[in-house]
Amino acid sequence: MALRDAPIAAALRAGLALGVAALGTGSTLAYFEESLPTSMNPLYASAMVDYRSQELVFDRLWFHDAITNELKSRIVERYELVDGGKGVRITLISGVKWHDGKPMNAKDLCFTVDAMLDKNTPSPVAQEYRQFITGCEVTSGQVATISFNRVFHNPRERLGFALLPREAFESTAISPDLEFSAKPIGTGPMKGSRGRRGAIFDAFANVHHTPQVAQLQLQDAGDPLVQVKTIINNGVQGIIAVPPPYRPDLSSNDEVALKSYDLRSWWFIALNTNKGALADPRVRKGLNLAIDRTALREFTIGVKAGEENSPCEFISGPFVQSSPYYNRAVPTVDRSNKAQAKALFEEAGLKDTGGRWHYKNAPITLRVGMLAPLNNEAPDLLSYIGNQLSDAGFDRNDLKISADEWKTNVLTGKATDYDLLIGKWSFGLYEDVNHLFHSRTGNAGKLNLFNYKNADVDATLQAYDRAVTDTAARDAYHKLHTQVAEDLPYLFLWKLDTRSAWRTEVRGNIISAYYYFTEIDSWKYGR
Amino acid sequence: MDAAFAGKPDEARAALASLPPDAAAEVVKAAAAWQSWLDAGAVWPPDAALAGLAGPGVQVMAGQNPDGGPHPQFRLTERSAEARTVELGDPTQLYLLSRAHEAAAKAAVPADAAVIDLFLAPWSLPAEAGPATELAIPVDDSWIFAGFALSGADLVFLADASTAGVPAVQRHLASSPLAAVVAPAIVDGQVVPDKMLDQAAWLGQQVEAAMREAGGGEQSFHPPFARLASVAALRAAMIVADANDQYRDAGVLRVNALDRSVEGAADPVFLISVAAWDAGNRNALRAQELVHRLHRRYPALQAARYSLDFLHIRTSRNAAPAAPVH
Repeated sequence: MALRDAPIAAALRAGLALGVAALGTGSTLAYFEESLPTSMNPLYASAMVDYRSQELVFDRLWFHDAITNELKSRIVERYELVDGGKGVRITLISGVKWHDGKPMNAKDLCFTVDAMLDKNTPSPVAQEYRQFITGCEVTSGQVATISFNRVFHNPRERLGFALLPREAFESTAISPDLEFSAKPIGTGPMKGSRGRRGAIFDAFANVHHTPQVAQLQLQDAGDPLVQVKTIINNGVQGIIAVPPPYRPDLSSNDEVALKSYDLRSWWFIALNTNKGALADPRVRKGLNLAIDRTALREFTIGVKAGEENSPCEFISGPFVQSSPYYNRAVPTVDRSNKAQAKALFEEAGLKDTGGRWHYKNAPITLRVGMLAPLNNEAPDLLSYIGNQLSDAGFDRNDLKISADEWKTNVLTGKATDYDLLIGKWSFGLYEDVNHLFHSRTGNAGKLNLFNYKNADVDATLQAYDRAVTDTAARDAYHKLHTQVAEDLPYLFLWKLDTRSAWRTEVRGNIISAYYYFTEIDSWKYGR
Repeated sequence: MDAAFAGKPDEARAALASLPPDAAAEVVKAAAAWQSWLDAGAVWPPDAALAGLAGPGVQVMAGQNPDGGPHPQFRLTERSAEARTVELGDPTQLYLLSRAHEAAAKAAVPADAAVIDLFLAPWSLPAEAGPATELAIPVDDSWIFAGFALSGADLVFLADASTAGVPAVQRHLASSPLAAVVAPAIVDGQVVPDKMLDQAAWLGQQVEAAMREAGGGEQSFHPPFARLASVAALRAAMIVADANDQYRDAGVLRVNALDRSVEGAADPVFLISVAAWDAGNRNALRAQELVHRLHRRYPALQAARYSLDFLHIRTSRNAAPAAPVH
């Protein structure tokens, strides 16, 4: 670029009158989400859209600054460690109002803790907090002490739960099907409500929040091409997750900016290890070799074989490759190997009759389900996987599963009539996968989709839980990676980067890792 | 040896003094080299004292990417009942590698050593002396083609801004296009990120318009150059804000520059600097992703993975719990 110093400097100085009209406030922003939130109750997030929506409505006790990672709170005035580090005394700021106008105080804080400790609150999030919080006691109006079962030098890092309003509930046993899940009351920057076709978030000025966007309108994402056209035409101002094939179109558009969203998501095909032929690990290994991930990735996500810095990277276990828990010694299976797959099926006793595999003298028909919103990110993935299974000699029955059904049937381990389930898991900094693979016993294995059982895997997961040192935790998960890559309760597919798009009129739109809208107060809309 | 790199020799002495007597031999060897530099007065650079530590990967040859030598550099035994193995990378190797690159670049074009110093200035370690901020030699266009300086004067501006901050903008306004683009985004002595985002977008549009006019129409190669200019502007403002003690504002600009650093504008030096900045903030998530993305092409970066991995495990095991979601 042969730009000479003086002329361009002069040209630039001349052009510096570049005018940016005053920003409008009080405006409305519409955006496409992956799906509608399944719950706006922070105890019952089951999808990333839930976390993102809840972040608008509630204040978490402490959070990390999206830019500097500094630990901050908007609702805690001060704190001090008590009982030698087995407790923290918290003074909440005064004047904060719930969205119903009532004042927030220490009783709300202790109610939230008590609700999480209540065993009749069937929340996976609460269950994690029960591991170390033992109680909460109100000292005075804005002061309460939270106690732990062990000493923490910096308990604030662990206290990232959202505050719930005591007066909105009849008891500390909070179930997921209350009206609160659709019309929550928080102290966050936006008052939210979910309808049948979308969700609305209205700005709620408070002593600790000054949102500059009057309203956010969440719309259920449909066809990605329609999403892209709509944002270009200013029909909406944002798209939370832009599928990779559409990113170049938006990247080259001056009126739209692509934004990074730090999220660790990996995709999988869960296999029903308790059903028919799939109970035999050799059949699972055969399927692992029958699937051609490179072709799937090319057809659905548009990544060419060998493409460098692809947004979609294969994985061989339950972590993304950049994670310290990913065991890099376990190779990925990028291409199908039909000869090896066939040998494994035969070894397992399947019979090839007329090009179809038979088990116990009956042709195998695989019932394959996919979480429906994934079709937006990886169009036609369900069909392509089904076609590959057909090519490998299996009849199949493809079904898309709505987000609600996924939550009520799949996550609860009730979808046992399926053979294969295509889904994805998302993580932030916290990458605990124990609930995915531990057998469903007691409080363990809450997200074990097909009630997979493997005593060796259970032992490894318990070793992770017991790990005192960082190396012990890492070694346990490296071992887990090896075990599940061998036993294959899942066929591990890939991780997929998430990129958002926002129109350039949206200003100050800092996107937080995982929670997304943590800095919504700084967002503005207008030229 | 982060204290030494940070220009804090007393802290480095204290760290070395805490080395246990039964430390592993390779650690003792590295510590002895640094100790000899400290004993000799801790005058930067420490290259002579560290020369014996340069592994086989620290050789820079034209057309090859040095791999930084075998990884991990250290394998230590954890002081726990299980006595697990802890793997570590040594930043000394990365430092020596960077010095070898610098020497090779200067050997290739000795007449332009001062230009190379200017390029390196924004990336210099706290312990290193800043370069001269007056350029007495002409900068050939080939130095800045498809780069993040729009002119030779920008190199001088960026070097000056990396220590002086806002005053450097005024000093170089007449000669440096980047200074001219940053200037309107400064209000009351502070860089205003929102204004700078406008400036960067505007610069990209102007560059594209100028190329269109000069070339008689739109060409497919125009947008990548516009993107380079836009990212260059954001990075320039980030440098100014950093030196102006606007840590968070500089972070906002850094993240925005990162978002736009795609395709031809994905400068690995900048990307890895963002990873280092994140690591300094104990934000391992993005840092790991950036290092992971780059380490296949630049294998020496493997040295950075060990400590990042442990930072991640340490912070995640102390983090607020969250259930996996879809």
